[in-house]
Amino acid sequence: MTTSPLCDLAEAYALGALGPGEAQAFEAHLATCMHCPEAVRELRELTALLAEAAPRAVPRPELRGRLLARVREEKRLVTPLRSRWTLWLAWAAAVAGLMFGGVQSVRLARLSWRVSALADSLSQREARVVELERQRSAVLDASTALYRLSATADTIRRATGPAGAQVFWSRDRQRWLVHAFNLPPLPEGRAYQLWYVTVEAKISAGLLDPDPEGHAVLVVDVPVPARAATLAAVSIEPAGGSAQPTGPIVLAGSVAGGR
Amino acid sequence: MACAALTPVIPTPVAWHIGVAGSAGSPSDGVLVSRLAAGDDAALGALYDRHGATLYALAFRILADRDDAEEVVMDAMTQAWRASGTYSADRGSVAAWLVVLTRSRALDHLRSRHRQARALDRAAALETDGALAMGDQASDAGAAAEHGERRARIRAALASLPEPQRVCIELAYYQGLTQTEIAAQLGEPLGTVKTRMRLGLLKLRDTLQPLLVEMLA
Repeated sequence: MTTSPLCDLAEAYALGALGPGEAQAFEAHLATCMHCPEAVRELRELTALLAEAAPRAVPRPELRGRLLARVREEKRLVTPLRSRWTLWLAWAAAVAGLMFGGVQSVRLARLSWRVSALADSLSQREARVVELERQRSAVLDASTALYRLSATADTIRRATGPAGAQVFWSRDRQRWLVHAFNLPPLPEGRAYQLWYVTVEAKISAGLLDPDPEGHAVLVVDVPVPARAATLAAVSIEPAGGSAQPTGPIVLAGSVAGGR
Repeated sequence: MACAALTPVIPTPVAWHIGVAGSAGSPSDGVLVSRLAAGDDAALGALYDRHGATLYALAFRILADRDDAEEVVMDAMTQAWRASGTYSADRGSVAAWLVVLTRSRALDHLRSRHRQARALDRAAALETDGALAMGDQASDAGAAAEHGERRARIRAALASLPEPQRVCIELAYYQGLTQTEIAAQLGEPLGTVKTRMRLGLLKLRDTLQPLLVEMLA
């Protein structure tokens, strides 16, 4: 039973085959139509069944272990530190328990746990904002130029996209802020190293240490011999870095053209 | 109603179960997802054991590259882990949720690759290999047979569509093309493509109704 021409788009929408304009129009329609939400739900299940029509293919057995290792690492990193807050509030809860007894102290304990978790999350975020502010203000001014480094091969990427980097160069303060992204993880014993490349030399700017998402940020003061750099490059070196580039160059781009 | 989780006779490193609802002793997908939200990574392993083969086969069909397909599955399952709190059963089955996560990542990857034509060639070559390889792994014969039977049923349903309808659906599904892009690629009017896609999906829905009923129950 079709009540609107837009109802006809349900199949294509469930398949993801609508252009952005049509998809938006259909989503607006979904909110008001009696029949389409159920139809879309059913069609989405159909697209899940279509996944089973793909020819049988099996991933390597290591994939399972890698997946679980990744989420366990995330779990470890994300667990908030509870020490100060928990101690203080647990003490407060204990005191309240003595004074008010029974149910109230249980409620207070639950509340205090939640407050401490929120406080830790907030302080982590505040620390991150402060750090980002610090990095930003360290390098952005009227003389700052932006350069882009690109991956030297299609293989240097993550599922989210090709690797790359933005280089902010403040000529007044002679400082670089480098933001690299989509860096694939490196095997043990290897590190990404950034280089200033001048006509005469390649000078190390330091190591990039990507997070699990492949982002790395580096703020460095540009030494005098590096101020003539016309290129920037990132290579893969042994952990700890090298005096000169020895490994493959994975990112590169021009940094010429400042004043 | 439930598809039973089948354990292979000879233990393999990974036992590919058909998990929709739970059978005796094994938790349902819904239970596993709620455990994810509580931080239980063993539940993620169980979801991977149940759905990983399908998700990988889909990613591999789209990308025709083992490393890319593995990374897509890893990223999709990691996203499922992080977003487990946002899943709710009224949005659909867990299987559909995971397929949507995987398919959208695989298609993003494909688009950024700028090599769709090559993937098509390789995938076309793999299609024939895939058909020959169906159900030939003795070590997990039980699970493979069950998977193979479902797969055969779904592929038969696809094959029973008139070719123009099937082509439109496959271009949208495995290459992520919009109707406009499909029309351009086939040199057909947009209205024709829209009708074919709609009729094809409606016919598939009718043919595969029994399997859908299981998933939605």
